[in-house]
Amino acid sequence: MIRLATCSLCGHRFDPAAGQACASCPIAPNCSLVCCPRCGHVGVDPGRSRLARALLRLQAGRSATGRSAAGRSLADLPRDAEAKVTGVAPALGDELIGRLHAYGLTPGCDVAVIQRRPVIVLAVDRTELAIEEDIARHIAVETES
Amino acid sequence: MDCHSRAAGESEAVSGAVVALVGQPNVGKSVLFHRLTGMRVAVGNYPGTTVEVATAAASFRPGWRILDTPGVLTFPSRTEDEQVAAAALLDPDLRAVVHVGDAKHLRRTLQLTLQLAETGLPMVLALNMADENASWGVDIDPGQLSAALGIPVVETVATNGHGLATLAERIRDCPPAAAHVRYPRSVEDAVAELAAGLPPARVRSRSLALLFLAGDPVAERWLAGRLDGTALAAAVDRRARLTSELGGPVPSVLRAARAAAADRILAAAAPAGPSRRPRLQTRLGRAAMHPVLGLPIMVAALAAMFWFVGVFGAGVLVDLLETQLFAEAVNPAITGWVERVVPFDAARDLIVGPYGLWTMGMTYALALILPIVTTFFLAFGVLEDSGYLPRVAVLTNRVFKSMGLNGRAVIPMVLGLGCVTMATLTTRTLDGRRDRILVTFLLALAIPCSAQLGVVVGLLAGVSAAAVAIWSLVVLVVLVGVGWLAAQLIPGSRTPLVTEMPPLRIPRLGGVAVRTVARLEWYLTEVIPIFLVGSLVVFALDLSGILGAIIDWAEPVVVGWLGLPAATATAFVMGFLRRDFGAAGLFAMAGAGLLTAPQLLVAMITLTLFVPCIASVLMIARERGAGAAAAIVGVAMPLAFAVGGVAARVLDAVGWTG
Repeated sequence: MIRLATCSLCGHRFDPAAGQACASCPIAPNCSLVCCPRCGHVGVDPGRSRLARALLRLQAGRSATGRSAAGRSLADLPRDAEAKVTGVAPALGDELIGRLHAYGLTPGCDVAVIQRRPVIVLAVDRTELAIEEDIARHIAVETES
Repeated sequence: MDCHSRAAGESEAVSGAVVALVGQPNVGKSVLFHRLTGMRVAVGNYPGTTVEVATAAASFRPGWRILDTPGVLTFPSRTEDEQVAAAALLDPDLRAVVHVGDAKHLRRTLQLTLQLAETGLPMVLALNMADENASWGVDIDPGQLSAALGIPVVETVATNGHGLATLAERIRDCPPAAAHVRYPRSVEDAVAELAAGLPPARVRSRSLALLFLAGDPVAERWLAGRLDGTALAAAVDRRARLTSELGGPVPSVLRAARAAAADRILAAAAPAGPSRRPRLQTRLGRAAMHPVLGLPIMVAALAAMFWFVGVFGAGVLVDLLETQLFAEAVNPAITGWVERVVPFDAARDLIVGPYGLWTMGMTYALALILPIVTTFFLAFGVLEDSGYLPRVAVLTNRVFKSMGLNGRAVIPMVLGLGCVTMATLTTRTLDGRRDRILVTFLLALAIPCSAQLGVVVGLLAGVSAAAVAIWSLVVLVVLVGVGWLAAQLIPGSRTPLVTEMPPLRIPRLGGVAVRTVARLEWYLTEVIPIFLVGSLVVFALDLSGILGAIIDWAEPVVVGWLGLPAATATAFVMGFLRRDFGAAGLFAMAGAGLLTAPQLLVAMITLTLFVPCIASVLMIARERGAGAAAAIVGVAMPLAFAVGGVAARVLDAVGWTG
């Protein structure tokens, strides 16, 4: 899968993994920075930098309420948010989906986020359920308003 | 023990009938079990598994036995626990099933009820924790529920005995369940086709066919043992055809149909009421898993547990029993008696010599491990009942993620600081075989037990705080590093954490006490033989001169590679066989000034990474199999020496002298 990045200076969309601009770089090619092949602007590749990923996650947690409702997963919801589950991705595997179902987490159910860290804890009906973020990413939700 | 005698002759009919309590985890099954039975409970492994089940005579009907099955989330069964529950349903001695459900999780409960009712077994639904449900403000109409499900429904509160007399009455004369879920046409066709050719079973062939189609391994094994090759192949073929007809996994289609049926029943029997504000119990439960508030609570809880098991049990009680009662009174008396009665030297040594069956085997089992086990079972029982353990798993999940595990691994790891042998036993609470092997390995390698900790702290504290800090750092780096590496090498993928947070409850001491006693009975009958075998092995090694040869062989490694005096080899080997000998040897050498500060540090690092003791090795072999035990020891021992040797060279190179 190709994950495209957008240059924050010129807006050019490119694949940071290809490292097109890295060939002419005098510094180590495996750093966590990535340069735009069009304008040369230096950006951070969140795919390579652990720290950048953590910071981005933190920002996502803060500003999640302000984003559009479309295409959201459980992992994007801030603390105390309420939402309706719209789908559970088959990628999770039938066994895990079956377990979630048995706990009451099925498409159509209402969930509330009790906490996000260190593990996401949800209230589903009267069940409190802890799930890892990697799983929550595969559960699509929509929020009211 | 009942379930063990059945393991011996599985086909043999047991007189009396079995009533199985089945239900999801955390619904109060165990409390209900203790209410329906007397004090004489047998705890043991279900035949062919490491899953612990309890059985006891029913108090309401002579001759009947109650079986407390492990929690089952849903069928098809996936975990070992669920497979035991599935196997219990296929037991020909089954008289009735009591489905224990949590009244406040009615929707979840009904989905499992419908699955169980398909079996056509005589069945009662016990809606437990009716009081908690009432405080949530929801009214359930048991009469309407009973009519819709076609089975008796009884509201119970196991903790105070409410509804239990009615439940016992219904169990005695409940009719076969008649509930029926309609599945999509293609499923029904496959079920009808399959069911026609199935051998007779205690459950309806329809439900057997459904379980098989959903891929339940227990149903599959059951059929494989009863159908001939062509019939089985045809069944497997039919299942594959159904999967392709449905265009997806069969269980998901069954789930959807049952969920719809459950929701219809629910709408009629328990209309949704207003939900209430979180109560104190809920708030406390949330504080206990809060990323900030939860940490001091967890540290306090784990410290209390470690203090009770590791300090009070492994320290005070062991000291009282081993060094005072056994070493000073019991063992001299028995030794004196044996020496008078037994005429041969070798036979005397076998019983009361340094590695004798009594002086080593029984003394270890009764004076050393029994107090640790007792305090551990008590503490674990309290934690188990309180609903706190899943919260610890949430808080520590991230740490264990790097080792390819999930937060559930914290319990064996913390217990390992008390006694690695016992902690190995608790690895059965983990999710799968992969997690169990990984944790068992890390326990054997890098978790120092209280005996090792005693030696380490006693010797290193006399050197300097820096020595303790270096030791901790090396052990921690090995733990995380090897954990990470092993997680990459052991096949299978990591089990992500998905777990329910049950409400925090005050444990019932009566139930904890009965369970502790029953588990101790299991310990006395099953684990003591391990210690006797252990002392026999050591006795034989000593008698045949192999022990001396091992020490001779280890000497060059200890002297040349680790840079330690030759006598430490004896202390290492002795410490593995008899921890008191090993510790005494090291203390004596340090006291005589034979070891320098870097030598002590190297000795302690090697000792910690060394497999703790022969009992733990035998326990690993018992729980994980001889092959796994050999592999674990084969990796841990050389690794201990490798790390020790590297540490010796690094300390020498930087000129560390304490």
